[in-house]
Amino acid sequence: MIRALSWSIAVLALLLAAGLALTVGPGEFGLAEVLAHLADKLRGVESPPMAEAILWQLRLPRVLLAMIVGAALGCAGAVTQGLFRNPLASPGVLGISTGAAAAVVIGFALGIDEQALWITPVLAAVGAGLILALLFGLTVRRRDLAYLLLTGVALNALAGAVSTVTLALFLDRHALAQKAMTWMLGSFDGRGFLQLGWASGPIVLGLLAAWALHRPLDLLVLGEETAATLGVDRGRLRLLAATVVGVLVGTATAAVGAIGFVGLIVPHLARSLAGQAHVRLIPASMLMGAALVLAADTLSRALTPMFVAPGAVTSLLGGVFFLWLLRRQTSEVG
Amino acid sequence: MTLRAEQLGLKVPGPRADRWLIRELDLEVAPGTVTVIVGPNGSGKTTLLRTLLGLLDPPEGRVLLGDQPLSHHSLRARARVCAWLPQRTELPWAMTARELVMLGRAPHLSALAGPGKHDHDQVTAALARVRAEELGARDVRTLSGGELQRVLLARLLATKAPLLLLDEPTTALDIGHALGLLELVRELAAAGHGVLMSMHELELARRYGDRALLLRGDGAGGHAIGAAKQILQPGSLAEVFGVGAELVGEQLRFTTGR
Repeated sequence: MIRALSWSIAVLALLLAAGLALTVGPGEFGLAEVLAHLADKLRGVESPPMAEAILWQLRLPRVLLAMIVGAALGCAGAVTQGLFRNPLASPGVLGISTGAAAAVVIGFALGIDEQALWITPVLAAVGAGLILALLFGLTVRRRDLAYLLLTGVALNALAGAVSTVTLALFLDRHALAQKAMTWMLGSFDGRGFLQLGWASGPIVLGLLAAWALHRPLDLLVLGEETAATLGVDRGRLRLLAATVVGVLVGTATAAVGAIGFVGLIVPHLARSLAGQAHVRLIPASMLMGAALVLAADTLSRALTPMFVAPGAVTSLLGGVFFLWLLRRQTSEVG
Repeated sequence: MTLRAEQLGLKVPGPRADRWLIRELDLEVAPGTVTVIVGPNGSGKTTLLRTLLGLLDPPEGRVLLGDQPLSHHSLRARARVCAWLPQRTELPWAMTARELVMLGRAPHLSALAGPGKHDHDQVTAALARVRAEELGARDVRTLSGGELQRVLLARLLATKAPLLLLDEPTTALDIGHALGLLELVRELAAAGHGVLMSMHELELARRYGDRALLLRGDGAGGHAIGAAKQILQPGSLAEVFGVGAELVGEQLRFTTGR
């Protein structure tokens, strides 16, 4: 009962935040006005042209995109932490997001992203999957925290360098450099129904698949071998989880660029509210991820007249959070 | 159902040649008996347990569950028959003892459905069996070593597996908790469980084991298997562990050197 209530409150809070986000930006629309327009829209009444253009063509897709990207990153974070049995593991910290970004930048440089819409997300997913495979390969014999994190740091640097080198090689092509830079900073500017259209399918599938893995992820808490003696096929779980994380992080990154630290912060908050059982932790991470990215984007739009990437906002928050977490984690161990 | 090793050979890579931990071992984990595995550090106790669980493939011989090789059974089917308590369990985040014990129900649950009333009853019964009912709501990371070991054992019992494979279940426990756990193991065997466990406490192994497997750790896979009282004799223990040993009444006494 209390659980159902708190879930409803969380969903309502997210919807309210989305409503508020629609009011932020140039062009005066209050929350009541937004809701009135929304009610009209649902009854099939045409909005005035101004409201139609600003609310429904510009802000709504942006708000929706921020929410599904946030849900994808939060969920991918929960799966990654469960998979590595480690509360400090996340797609950002381990270089998975950077790997996705590097693959996309290479795609930009070679011009293959122009061929078809699906190429960028597929490239990003492959980049993310490749980093995950490397992580598994390199840490299979040693699963301690320091070794895993350092391997992630190295892979993160490596993938970052691949992007930089690729950009440097094509520096004379200004259009490319600018396109890649804006994209890499992590931005919702200029994103709309187009990105929402191709990103929502894979993300929704990824979210459902992640939830379907909740039981084996729970069992991993006992250790990989003990989980195997409880019926978990380790190889299959790794492959499935890596695919899910690859699709979620890849699609989100392809749509809006690298948005750091969401996958680290969100599962933590979710764990303290929903408990560690993945059956609730994964949906809670989706909700809170959506809320966090939406808030980051709305804040950066509301507070700064200039363009500040929401990726920078989440990294500002996340960097501090990560340090705090690391301190707490090591003091617990020591 | 029984778990059997036939002509099992296990080895680890050595500096020049492979070191055989075990060769030509025939072993059976049968309902109602407690079999103890003893041997020096590195003699292959854990490797043997992991092989019997199918976590490692044996270089020689085979492992049978019932009449079929282990690999013919699905992972879930095996999980319903053999439950494992590893030497150490590190828990990465907070969870209640009940949640931990509920993980043992996994081999009986379908992939997406949650646990039902029957599963909750099994968890309650398992916690009661190890006399840890009052620990159910506690965060497992706040439990003492002895309490945690009982809760982990309850996790095995919640699986309802007839065969229990325990890797040094008493090593981290003080003597009071160790004896308590071993009494519990005897009760479980009396109730029909087959138990195979590795131990370092030779005196306790002799007292609580029906059968014993002594691994010599000689690099050639030497071992002795039989009734616990016959296998765990002062002479063979002195030789294998490089200590002095004598039997005083029914007590084993050890001294340094021969």
